[in-house]
Amino acid sequence: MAPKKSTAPPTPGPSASTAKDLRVLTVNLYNWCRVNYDEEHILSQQDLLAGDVIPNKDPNLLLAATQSLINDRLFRTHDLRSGGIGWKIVSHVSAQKYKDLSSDESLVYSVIESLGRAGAWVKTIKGKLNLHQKNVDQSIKTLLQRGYIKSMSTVKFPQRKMYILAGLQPGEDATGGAWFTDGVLDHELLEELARTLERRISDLSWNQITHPAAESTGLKLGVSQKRKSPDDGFDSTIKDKGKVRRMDTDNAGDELPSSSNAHADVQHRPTSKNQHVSGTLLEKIYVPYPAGYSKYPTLKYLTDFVNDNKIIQSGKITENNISQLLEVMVYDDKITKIKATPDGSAPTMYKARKNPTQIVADWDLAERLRDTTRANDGAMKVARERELRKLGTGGMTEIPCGRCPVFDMCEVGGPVNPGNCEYFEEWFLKIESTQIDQEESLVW
Amino acid sequence: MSKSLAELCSLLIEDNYGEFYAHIFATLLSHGRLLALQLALKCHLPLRQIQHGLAVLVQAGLVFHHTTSEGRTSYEANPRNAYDLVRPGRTLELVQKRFGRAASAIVTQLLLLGHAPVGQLKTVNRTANESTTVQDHDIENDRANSTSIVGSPAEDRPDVEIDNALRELCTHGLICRVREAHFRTEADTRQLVEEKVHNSFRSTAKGTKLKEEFAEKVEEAIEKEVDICINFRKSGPENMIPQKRKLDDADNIPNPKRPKLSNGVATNEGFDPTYFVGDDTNFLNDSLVVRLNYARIAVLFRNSRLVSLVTAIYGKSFSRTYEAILHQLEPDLPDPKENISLGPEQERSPGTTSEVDEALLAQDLAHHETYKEHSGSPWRRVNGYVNGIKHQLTPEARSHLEVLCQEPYRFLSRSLEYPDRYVVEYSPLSIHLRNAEIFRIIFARFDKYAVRIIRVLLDKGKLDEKHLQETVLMSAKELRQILAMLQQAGYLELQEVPREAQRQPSRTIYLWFYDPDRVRKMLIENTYKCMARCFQRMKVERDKIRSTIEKSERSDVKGKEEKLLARAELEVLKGWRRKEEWLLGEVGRLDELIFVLRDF
Repeated sequence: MAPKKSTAPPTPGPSASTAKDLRVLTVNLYNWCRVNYDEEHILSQQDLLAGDVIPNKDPNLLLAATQSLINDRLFRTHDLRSGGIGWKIVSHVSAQKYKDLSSDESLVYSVIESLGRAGAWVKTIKGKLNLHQKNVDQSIKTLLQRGYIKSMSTVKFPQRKMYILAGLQPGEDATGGAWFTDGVLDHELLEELARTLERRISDLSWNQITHPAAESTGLKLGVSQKRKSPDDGFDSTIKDKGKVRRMDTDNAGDELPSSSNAHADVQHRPTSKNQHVSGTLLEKIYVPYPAGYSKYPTLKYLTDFVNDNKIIQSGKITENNISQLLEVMVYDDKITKIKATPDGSAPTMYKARKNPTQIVADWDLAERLRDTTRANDGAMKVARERELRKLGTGGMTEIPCGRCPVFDMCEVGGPVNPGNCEYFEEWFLKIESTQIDQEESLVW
Repeated sequence: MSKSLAELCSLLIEDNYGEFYAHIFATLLSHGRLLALQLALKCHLPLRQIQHGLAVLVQAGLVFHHTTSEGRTSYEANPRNAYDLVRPGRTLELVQKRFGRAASAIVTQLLLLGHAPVGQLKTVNRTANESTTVQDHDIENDRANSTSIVGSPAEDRPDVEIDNALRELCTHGLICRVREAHFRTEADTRQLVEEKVHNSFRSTAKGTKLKEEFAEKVEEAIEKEVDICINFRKSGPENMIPQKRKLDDADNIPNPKRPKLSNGVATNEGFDPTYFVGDDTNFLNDSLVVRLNYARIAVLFRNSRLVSLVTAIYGKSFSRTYEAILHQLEPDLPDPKENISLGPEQERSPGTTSEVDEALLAQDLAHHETYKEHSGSPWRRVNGYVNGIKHQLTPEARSHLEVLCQEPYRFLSRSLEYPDRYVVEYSPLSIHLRNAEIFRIIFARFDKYAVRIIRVLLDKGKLDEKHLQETVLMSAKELRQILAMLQQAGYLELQEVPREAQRQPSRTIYLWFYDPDRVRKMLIENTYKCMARCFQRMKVERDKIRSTIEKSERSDVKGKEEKLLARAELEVLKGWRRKEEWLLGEVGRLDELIFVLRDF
């Protein structure tokens, strides 16, 4: 609270009126400010003088008035960005609180108040005020008892003792945003929401084509026109089946060469897992949309989707949060970003990596895996199935050496060597059993 | 050259040629360049035997040799070729799938012989069934397949087939010529060339310019020395006659160590241009010595990987289009630089791109169904016209191409210069494949969160824990655990940035980062080691039942195992065979990893 450099000594100047006049002036000034400015605004000297409350715009008078207001806790001093000093108005209610407090307590309270929703760490308070630990503790205790402040915790530093004004909720930084429940990252929520979003994005990013068995209106859509002589390219067997576009792609129809729909393509792999997919899904076929398709979901769409369907119980979720999650999903290779225009002026769109059939199959597999491990029946089979699916082709992860804990020590003639390796024996047994499993039912 | 690779190379030679040769090779590897006599001393073997062994190894291209002007010949191991010994199985598989049986018969023959004159390859059908010396499992299987066809009764048919196949293999660079320089180390060749150039070098330039000119000449000459292409498209009739004469000189080869075209300076001898003029099927000179170009196998394999990636992402019909494009590009693709890869420090080849013409592509796609069976003739590459009709892409095909051009994969892109041409940029695609492989390994060893962290760091560079935590949406505790695990396993590294000169830990910023190149090298090393372990384990398993194996290999028992061996012994043998199969299968899969990480 350094006094302004250019100001006169704190006593009223020669032109000062009596104490009573000053009192009235102060009240007038305060009321004028209340009417014209809100609490967040920082008033400069010019602002205060502009109101014609101070006779003759006398700076000395103004100084006396503001000083009196500060003493009453109705004004709080602030630094101005341009240098110099400014003031903020304080409500009577807040000011009242200060009046009941001892000097230490009011100092502590003012620090906590000044930090707002971010919360004040005990050490920060101590550092700012240069008070003894004991005094700070004592003050905090009193403030807590009076119900002026409450304790809070922050995600980033869960072990820190933090305090915040009783009437405030901790800010996003402290709570960690929507993904935190009681200061702990809510994994379940994240996973569940990611699953839902992936499914939704996937529904919107693959062109669904129904088999002729289900729909026979394909000819109306001009597929037949596109039929060419048999040698014009791809397997005509697939092409000759009439295909119909799904409802939600109709809008986009103008942009796509309709013939691209003719290339039906079974995205799900013809492996045993299809047996577990429900019958209706088997009839659906997904093909990618042509290049330049611009109806992939955007961040805004997805946020609205989550909010409109009330997917999250705790209430609305912001675009920021969803964007964070989508970013993670991109890193998980579940979705990819698509820029609608090269210069990035249009919002980024998201496209799912897998089509709905694959996603359902994945969930299904995970489900079965959970079941069979409990029942311990064919667990190996499912584990192997999952392994093969996840691994694709490639070595290193399969043989014991790939995960050997003592791989670095392994050396011919050393204490750990290929001869006395125990993992290989285990491995031989494991393959043997999986091979038997495989011969029984799985054909890869 | 790393320890594990040295170990692996020796094991491969042992597996293919036997312990004796492996011993010589390993000694050469560990001691570097040696004279025969020195080698004999180091190996504790008589010189005579060493010389015999060296001859075999030189013939197989596993040992470099160099004779100085004083007549002292020194030998040096060639680990690059030694590593390739693990690949014949895959090579045959790829070649057969792509070019058919006849081609695979030729390749089989080349694999058996190391290198051979074209004339010998042309008779491959009739002689292939006799030679059975290679021990490699896959070869024998495949050879059995191929001989069944090549030995077919139709006596005259195979000749044409073989010729076609040879031609196709040459166009695709799978077969390349062998020159004397290929039996020398690069340094030796350079030295020789420098001497030669120095003697004939005349220039008026001075100072640095002179040096530059000299270096340029040397590079040129070296390129000529090691040039491997049998490029018959470039050849013109003007240099046909002198070449023929040269070849005639080299025709009968008395000296096994210098069988190559010692006057091999011109690039195009060996190709008979009359091939293009007309009817002569004898397009390659019989005396031209050729070998298999393993670098091209990597190209084939990379293409097959890319195709399966497209299948996974867009589906089968897209991958067929893409396959056609890649196949069309294959012959024109520059070799992935022989990056002798044993020095992983070396710069990798710059992005190789190649353009494909829409018209050509349309034509290819039109013939798509037949394309696979019949491996095509060079004519299809001449231009986009067949019988005067320019092929147009069907709208389907065009929309496929556009989808393939899409972000973020960019399997294709449009050529900047010609609007109707497409470009495949291999280098980012290779990086994509490589990263995918690394992520797969990390996923298998750790979990999906580990992959997420790695991908974030790959994308964003160096991050401190706080930022990382915000991006990956994980709690600090879990994050720290995974980071520590990844760091311990060598996938992640931590950088300390002190904020003060005192380097207090509390005043230091810690940044996590992921160095893909370092991880790649580490994985390559580990893969070599894994492969070596597989072979060593095979040996161990073999030793366990040595007596039974020896019994089964006795001349009176061989072939009649079923009758003469006890049931228990048969069981043991069967079990061993299975184990061998698994381990060899694993080696093959590990080799795929090497392809992806090292050769793409």
